[in-house]
Amino acid sequence: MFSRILVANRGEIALRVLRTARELGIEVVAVCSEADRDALHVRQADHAVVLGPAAPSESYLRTDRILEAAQRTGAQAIHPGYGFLSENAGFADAVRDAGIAFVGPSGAAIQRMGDKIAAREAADEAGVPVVPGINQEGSDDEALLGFAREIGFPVMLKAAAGGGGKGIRIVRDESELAEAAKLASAEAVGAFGDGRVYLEKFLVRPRHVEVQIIADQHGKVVSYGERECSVQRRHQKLVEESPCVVLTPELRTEMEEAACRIASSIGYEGAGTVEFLYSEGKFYFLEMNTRLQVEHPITEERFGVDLVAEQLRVAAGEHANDAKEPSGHSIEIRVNAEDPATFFPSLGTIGRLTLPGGRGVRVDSGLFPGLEVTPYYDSMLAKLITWAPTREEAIAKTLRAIGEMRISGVQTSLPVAARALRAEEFCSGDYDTGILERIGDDAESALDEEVVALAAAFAKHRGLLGKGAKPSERVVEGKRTSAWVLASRSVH
Amino acid sequence: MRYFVTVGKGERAMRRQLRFEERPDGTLLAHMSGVEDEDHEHARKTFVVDGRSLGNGSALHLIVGAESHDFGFEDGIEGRELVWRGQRLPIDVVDELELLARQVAGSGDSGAKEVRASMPGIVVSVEVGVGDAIEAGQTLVILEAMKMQNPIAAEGSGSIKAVHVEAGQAVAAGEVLLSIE
Repeated sequence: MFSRILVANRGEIALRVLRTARELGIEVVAVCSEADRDALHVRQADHAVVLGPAAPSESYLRTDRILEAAQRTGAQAIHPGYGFLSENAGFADAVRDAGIAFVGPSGAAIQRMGDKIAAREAADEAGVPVVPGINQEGSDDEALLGFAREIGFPVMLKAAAGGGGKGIRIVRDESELAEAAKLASAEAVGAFGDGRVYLEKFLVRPRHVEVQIIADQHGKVVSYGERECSVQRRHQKLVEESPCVVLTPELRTEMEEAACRIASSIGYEGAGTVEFLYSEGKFYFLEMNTRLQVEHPITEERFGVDLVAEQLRVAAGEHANDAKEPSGHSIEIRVNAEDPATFFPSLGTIGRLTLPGGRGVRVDSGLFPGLEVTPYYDSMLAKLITWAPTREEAIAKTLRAIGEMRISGVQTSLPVAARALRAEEFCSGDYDTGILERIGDDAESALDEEVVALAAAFAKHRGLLGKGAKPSERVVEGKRTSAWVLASRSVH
Repeated sequence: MRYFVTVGKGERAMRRQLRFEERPDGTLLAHMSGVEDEDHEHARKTFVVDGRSLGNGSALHLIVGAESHDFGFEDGIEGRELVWRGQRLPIDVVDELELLARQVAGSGDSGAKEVRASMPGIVVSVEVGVGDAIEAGQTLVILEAMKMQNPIAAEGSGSIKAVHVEAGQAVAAGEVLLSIE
């Protein structure tokens, strides 16, 4: 086993890896941008290296600076977390070329699954059903229309180099196709540097169901059940649960075997997730994520496994453990810094923080009072994970925990997640990826509660309504200016 | 001293009047009624209130009768907000003197409405021009922040009176993007 590893990430996942490493007696090298200098993972690490300014391109995406930090501190392995360079084949290769272990699969496997068209082909070759679609890039409008007619409208236009829910467009009618393809390709070039798009059938009431696998360097692949991630907004997951209530034991076995087959066929090593779409009793390969996922904790809670420990063990050459029998039901909600009404990002400084506790409640988060929520990184502040013997109890426990949670200084997506968990559609278990669009807005209900008027008047009466500073404002050179404007000045 | 409270904004806002009496044990007797110019008559109610503020005034706990109610305070773009059960509610509370001062000053409604950025970001594009007619839901400006593109839509119909920003410009929260009439 390694004695010292570098965690090439930030926020809650950096803390997550640090915790397991610490329990295994492994020293941790933290890296950070200047904006993350006060972060928990930096303060708790054994060693820390500041990579550069806030922008990821100057810090977390700098292979050169990360490798230099690893070499300077004698790190034997690098854990890439999720996002950033975790699915960058060049990074994985560069780490290995430098004689350092990469906690993840080979650059070749990352590359193969990173290209969504190549990934579909790999799944097909492994005998796994794929979403009906066209693998070739339809480069001219006529060919694209021909393919779309073959699949049948509505279709999904997707970026070949995309993933994580980005670069996707739904086209319902022939007349929209040419324009949509042009826009999708332009967006893809901007976001991924690759304008190739492909078509997939738009499935009826699809559910997003994914399978967790761990593969070791000796050819063994172990599956750890599935997670359902259908509560999404703009293809970004908000609520995840395990198990998926609609899967029959037969279907579950088929999907787990399919996931293992794909992983084996590409010589996969490490933790990975094979994502499927489930529709009308059938499942179809969607894509494979060659890293640890955000929602991995719900698998850990049900299987009594530490997936980061498994990652480190297989990366160190050990044999993968067999999966234990899972139990109970686990739910995760993502707590994002955003306005629950408009979903716009919410920036600011974290003030008071009250995190929930009690039996079966877990919070994975890098939050602390005084943390600056900046526009440089994604908006996820925390993950709230619960476990209970049954689904009903898990839902009740999650709602209870949400009620206890207080994060001041920014707005959060907590009310949206709570709304989803209370919705009849979610509770029945009969939901799909369209659920968030369908459930209503109950924010108005507060305006019928007279106690809020009483509280406002009381606050005034006791002199509590003094004027505070506007959010995200800093006084710079004698003028009030926003943190964002400050940041953009320093970057450009 | 009477207080005039507005919770929320626009037509659906809740408006009440309140008056407090101090009691010997430190609690308050609160008398609540509706405001005079509202159509619907809100019943007069009286509550016994035991209230505590926590920390530096950022949280409030009330025992109303025997009911427990927890609140927080936040600074929103346009003023203080009350946080109740996870919801942020804009509040406006004035006493009689402040209300009088407001009425004397006049509200000066110019008829023009401003569309403001609700968060800091960079303007990706301005989708309308001066003189354009617009309708509710129409995308006016696209702002980028936190790696996401966010369309800012019109709340109602009207026409564009003035455009104050251009593509590539960084804007602060609350900054005026467009004027509509």
